[in-house]
Amino acid sequence: MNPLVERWLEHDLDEADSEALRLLLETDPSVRAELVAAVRERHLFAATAHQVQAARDTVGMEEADGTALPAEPRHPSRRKRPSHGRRAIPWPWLAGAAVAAAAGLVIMLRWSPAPPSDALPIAADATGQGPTIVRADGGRDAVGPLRAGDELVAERAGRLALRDEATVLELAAGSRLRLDDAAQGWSFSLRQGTVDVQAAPQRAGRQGRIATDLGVATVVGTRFQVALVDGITRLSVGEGSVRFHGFDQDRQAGPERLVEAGRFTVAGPVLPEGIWTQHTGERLLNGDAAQGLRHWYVAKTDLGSIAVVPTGGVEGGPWWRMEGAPRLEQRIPTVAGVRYRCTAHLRIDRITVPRTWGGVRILAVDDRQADRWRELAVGDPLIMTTDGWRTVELPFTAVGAASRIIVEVFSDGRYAAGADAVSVVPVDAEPDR
Amino acid sequence: MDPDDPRRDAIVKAAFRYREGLLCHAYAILRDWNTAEDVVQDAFLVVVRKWQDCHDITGVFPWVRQMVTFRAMDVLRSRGRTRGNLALAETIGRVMESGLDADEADAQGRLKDALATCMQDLDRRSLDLLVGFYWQRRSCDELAASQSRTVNAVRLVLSRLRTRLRDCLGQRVGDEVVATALGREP
Repeated sequence: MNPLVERWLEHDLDEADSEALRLLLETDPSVRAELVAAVRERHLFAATAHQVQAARDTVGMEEADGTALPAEPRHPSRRKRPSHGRRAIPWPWLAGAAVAAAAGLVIMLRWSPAPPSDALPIAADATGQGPTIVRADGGRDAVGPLRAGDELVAERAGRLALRDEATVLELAAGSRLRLDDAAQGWSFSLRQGTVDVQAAPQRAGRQGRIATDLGVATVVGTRFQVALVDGITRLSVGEGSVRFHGFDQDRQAGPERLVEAGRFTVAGPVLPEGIWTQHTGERLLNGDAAQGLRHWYVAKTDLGSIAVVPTGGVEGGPWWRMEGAPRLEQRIPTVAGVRYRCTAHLRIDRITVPRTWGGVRILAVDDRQADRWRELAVGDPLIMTTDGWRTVELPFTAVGAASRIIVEVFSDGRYAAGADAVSVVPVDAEPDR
Repeated sequence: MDPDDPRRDAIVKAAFRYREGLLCHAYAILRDWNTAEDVVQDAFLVVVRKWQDCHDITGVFPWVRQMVTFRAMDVLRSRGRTRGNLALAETIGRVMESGLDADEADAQGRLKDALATCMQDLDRRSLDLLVGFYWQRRSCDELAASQSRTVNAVRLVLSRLRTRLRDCLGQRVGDEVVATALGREP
């Protein structure tokens, strides 16, 4: 390589050298080609390494000892997760449970097949449309006491009452609910669908619990609902309060949350594309709202932990979907002149009306005047396929004390879109503009 | 004009397709990755707002590149660069224009995707070395101190990483494509 080009690459040219290189570039095509190739190589190594490193930092996959990563970048939702069928319990879980039990604390969930325990007498609803009981040995009954390992399968929506207490379980059509334990109250795990629980206050020493792969709700004496929707666990509380623990990917319980009446909690390895707007609440990712989400989803409006701005068409049940042109937005404190990098994982799925243009994008806007936003940056808007998660980077330099990060659908189609693991972190380098 | 015009999407999409090539162009003028990213972002904002000004979809790349060039030169002027530096930057802008057309700018994005896959196999230390040297522009002395290696070891590792990644890139996109884009291996 020409030594002047080499030194230019190393930022090692004085005024005279700069002029010499300029003249050389004007006259020598081979030097021009060298410079272009060198810049392209620099760009590839610099930008790609930076991007790969940022992606690893975002999803927290790297190992301190430099363990090599898998061949393909993976979204947090695709990290090692327990499957529905597994029964193995990590030893830290058992150890933690033992310690907590010894301390007389309430341990939330026991996931392994429970040993035989006391039967749970039930009474089917007067409508006679209660769920079928599928016994642990494969037998089926319409009525009769439930034992640990039995599963309630509701082909149609149905309800049943726990006979010794005024607790009613309503299962939505297609739901499956398994009794894990009945020795100290009742402990169900929701395998599929939705269960509405009208729970009586539990007697001393007894507990009622509904668990999923992603968390466990403990009855305090209340009316609440646990639902599995698209791999997300949603707990919403109508009356009273419910204790809730989210699980991380290793089934370690996050901090306990007391979910009060009128509030919800959503837990999942992937955040849902919408929220139940009738309640306020928070979202948990991998067991804890703070984990993985960093500055995203902090309280802003009456909607709780996230602002949903339905400026476009929103349809379908109790869930907001990013269809039409609604958007998710978050106001974050920033320092004017400091450079930030926003990283988000976006996807599109469940297309109901195919798009002819548009997609999902993230943008950053200045928040100095809420009604007069100034765009700071826009991310790649080419998130338009259903081939899984795409990682989008959005660097921007703040111009005020606050900025807003917006994830929005802009399209003529109708489809559900999701955003996950959105992070906004200051960039180390000093801004120089 | 209807802001939902499908042409808007086509133009914006086209502009984003050239992002990596535009970043190369901006970096060559500015010599700073962060500022280059900002300049390209500024240009994209103009594209999103003033896409109607682009009358020919095939002319998106030169249109955006021109914006990037103007903005980058503005930045250099605002930093009080000497006349000599500005003259060199202008010349380099022209060199990049002639050496990195729309096709090559598009190819730069594909090369980056391929290289990202190659880099997935690197351990954290190697990746840190590449980021430190290429993105943060840290010297080999600094990198040697931070990684408890000798300076020569850092140079050697960087050289081997370059060779390994070029080989991987060649396997993925073809040696000729790599040679065309990055020149022959010295």
